[in-house]
Amino acid sequence: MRAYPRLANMNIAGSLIERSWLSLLLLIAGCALFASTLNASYADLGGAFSPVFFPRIILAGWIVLAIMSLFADILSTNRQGGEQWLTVAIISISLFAYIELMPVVGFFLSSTVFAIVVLLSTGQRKAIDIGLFAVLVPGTLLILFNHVLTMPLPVSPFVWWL
Amino acid sequence: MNKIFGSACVAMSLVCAVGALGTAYADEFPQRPINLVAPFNAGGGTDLLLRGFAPHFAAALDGDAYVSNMAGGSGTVGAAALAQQKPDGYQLGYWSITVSTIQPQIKDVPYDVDSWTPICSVAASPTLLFVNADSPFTSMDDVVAAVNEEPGKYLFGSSGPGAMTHLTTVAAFEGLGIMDKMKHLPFQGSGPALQAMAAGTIQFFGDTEILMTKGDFRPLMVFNDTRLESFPDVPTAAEAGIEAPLDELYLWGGLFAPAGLDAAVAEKLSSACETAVNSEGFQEFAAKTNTVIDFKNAGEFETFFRAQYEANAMIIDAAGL
Amino acid sequence: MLGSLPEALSILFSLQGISVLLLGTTLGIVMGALPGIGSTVAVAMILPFTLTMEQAPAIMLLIAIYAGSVYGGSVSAILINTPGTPQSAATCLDGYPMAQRGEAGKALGWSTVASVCGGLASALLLIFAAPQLAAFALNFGPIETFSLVLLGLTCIVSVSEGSLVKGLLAGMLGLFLSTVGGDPITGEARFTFGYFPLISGFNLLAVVIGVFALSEVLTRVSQKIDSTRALVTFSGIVLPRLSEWKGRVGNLIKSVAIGCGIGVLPGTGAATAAFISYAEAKRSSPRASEFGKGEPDGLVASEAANNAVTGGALIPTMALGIPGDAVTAVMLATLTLHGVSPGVRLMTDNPVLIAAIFTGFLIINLLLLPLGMLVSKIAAPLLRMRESFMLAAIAILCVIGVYFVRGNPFDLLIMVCAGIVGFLLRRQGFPMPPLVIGMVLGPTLEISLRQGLIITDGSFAAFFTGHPIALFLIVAAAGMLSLPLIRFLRARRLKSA
Repeated sequence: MRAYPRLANMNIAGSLIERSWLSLLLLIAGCALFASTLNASYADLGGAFSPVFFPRIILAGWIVLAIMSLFADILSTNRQGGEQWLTVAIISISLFAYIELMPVVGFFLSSTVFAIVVLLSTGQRKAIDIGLFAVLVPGTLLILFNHVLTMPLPVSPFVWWL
Repeated sequence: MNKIFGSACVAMSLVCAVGALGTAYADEFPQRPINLVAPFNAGGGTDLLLRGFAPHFAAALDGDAYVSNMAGGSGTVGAAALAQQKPDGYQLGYWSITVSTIQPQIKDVPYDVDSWTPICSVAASPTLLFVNADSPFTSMDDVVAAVNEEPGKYLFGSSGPGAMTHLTTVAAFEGLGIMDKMKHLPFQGSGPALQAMAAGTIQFFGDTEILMTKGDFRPLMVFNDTRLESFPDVPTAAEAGIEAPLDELYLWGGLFAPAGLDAAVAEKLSSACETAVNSEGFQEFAAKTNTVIDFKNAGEFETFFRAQYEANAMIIDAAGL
Repeated sequence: MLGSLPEALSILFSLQGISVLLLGTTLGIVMGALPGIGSTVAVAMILPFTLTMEQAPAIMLLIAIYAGSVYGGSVSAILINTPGTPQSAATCLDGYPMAQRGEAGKALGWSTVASVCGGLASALLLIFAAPQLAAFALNFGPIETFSLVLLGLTCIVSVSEGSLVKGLLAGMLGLFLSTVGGDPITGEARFTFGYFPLISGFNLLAVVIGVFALSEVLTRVSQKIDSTRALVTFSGIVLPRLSEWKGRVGNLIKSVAIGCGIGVLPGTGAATAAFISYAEAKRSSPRASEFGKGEPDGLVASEAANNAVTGGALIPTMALGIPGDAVTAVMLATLTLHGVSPGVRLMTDNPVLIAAIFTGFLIINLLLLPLGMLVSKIAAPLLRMRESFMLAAIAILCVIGVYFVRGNPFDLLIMVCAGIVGFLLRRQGFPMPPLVIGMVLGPTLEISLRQGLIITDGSFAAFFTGHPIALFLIVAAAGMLSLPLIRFLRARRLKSA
């Protein structure tokens, strides 16, 4: 019986953070960036000549709006949820891996791997479909750009044409 | 049989000596397409020149060459990326005076004068200082008198800080000692600056002849050692009273490979470059685009490049960059 | 110029002339529809092929590719929320929701008709008033440009779905992102914190593709994907019926006028035109509340305006010999390669060529309708992929597109980060169009403001004296900004009464 109010309090605190964490983060980022413009490493030429003249105006606006947005978040009652966070995380990480791998192993190989990961993580299970897609789509694009249009995408270190 | 013998030779020279390896590598070079990096967006002057040059260069090498663009940070992004590549001769960049000698001295970039094996220079055009055709100024003396009379009134434009157009105007007004009495207005590219010139927002601009002849402009002096054939009445900067080293400015560009390229490969690339520059097709291309060809081989270009690097430090200083 | 028309027409209606126009327009549409292969890349790609052609066909081919790719950019914006070029970003706002509703064919129908109208009107303007308009454009100095951009920024108010505060904050984020990199006046590196790749700044297209296309991919996978359904249902363009145009013609005309006007002016461009026109359509439309949910008016406004810019941008190019943007710079280079020296005397020295270019431009815009229908008919089966396959294909195409913008691997990293951050921002109720508007207008806003202050010796008050055009634009901007406030107050008074 006693646990109820505490649980409710935690829920309220939790959803408050859930609603306003991004505005809070933006407010902190805005303040940090503004502080960085006070750093003496920028040439102090005064007025419009100064490189931080314009960014400071923008950042000041940013900070004011972030405060207003924070209040709006606290007052709002919107709630969201039910996302497939695991899938989002897998695809986000594989995107980073994809663009990091592309210059190293070439466009074709990295795209093939990426396509397989995306298809598997979004619930495709037919091996033939996945295989065909993962080979045909990057393959067609590679032929189009590297060999027809001669606007080359990165190639693998093994053979120059793939 | 020959093939086996050939590969045996390669294998042996691999074991034998570094020099022999180099020669064998150079003999077989190129085995795959050569990438020519243009450090600016597709469609710009550098890109166009390189795309006109690539087929003739490929033919001279008896291989394949393609142009790829890698733009950003006034050309420094492309140059920085190439500087970190393996010096295998398959990755070359076409750098202008600003990318190779100006930017590394005004910005914190991960390359410098020692990052390159210069291959050859391809083009070099002198720059001119010019005004609107309806401008009251007909000589530099008029300009100096007017600026001294009303300091702070006149503006000179540029296509961006540290660009060739900026250096030209700085060399002119610093050379004449009136730099402090004028204001600099940078634009984003030559196009907007020339529009502002036609509109009268800025009074002076400096660029190559190709750009100047696009609008209704009047040249006041040329940063060349002699007067130009096309403008025999326009004095050189030295004649207008500007002392060395500010009196000569060329928008030059050439091919660079990352430092440490095998000398034999560099030699092969350099001579292919010479054949390409002198080819009928490229000469015709250059004539149509008003490109002033200026070939220097690997050795000459290296000396020239290092001398320019030193000389431009002075203009950079005057520009306050 | 009209005297040279017969000769120009005989060039255009030769076998070579017609085939160049047909092929160029088709290629342009296809390349524009591929994300990232924007107008500039398309034109630069085709340039080597024009070297062996004759003068008029060579330049015609480039103009056909240009006009075709601007139209093509709207196709991928509508079908898969991936703008091929920044100027198609405004098209996503209503085009994609319409496509999601299952009306993809209809959305493309509206955009096609609007594009053709915009292109045709700007072609006529080019033919009859190029020199006069070019002369007028010269009145636009830095101070006038600053005021125009300020007016453009007020669009943020009207595209802020949901929360105005969050919309404005997203706009500030966009403006700030545009300041990262080299300072346009001193050349100093700003906000790079010693990390070299940041020197090239945040590329606009990388961010646009990230926050529109990639964040949409993430939003899709965050919901449970139906693994059997197709993402879009599309089987070809459906043209709007004449009766559906009722009450929309005024919007079309106004949008075309905005596009032409902004195209003529230096330093703004098609993306600005599309957003300003979109905002104006929303302000004045009786269906304003439907905007952003798939309202044809929004689609018409952005497409008519960005296609009208194509003709407008050719005006300073042809009349003054000064390129308006990267694409027209390539065209001038092509003219030079073919022995025509561009410049103020271009139009008087080469009347036949100019007449051929202008009438050719008119014909290209007429061709957009049938060719657009043909291309989308052929491409339709490709779009019937199941959703997860489509999402994988979109992600791969995004990567290719951004890779080709300027070949900078760092741009890919920006795109992925923009995609993830965009997904989180959207989830927390921040609208993305204001961010894009901020990034589009940021560089011009900053440089024109600082140039203006250099000219006036640091006096902002001097912006208002002696610059009547600027004063007018700033007053208009203030009016646009106070509109929501006035509406709010009026609503309150009505309530209390």
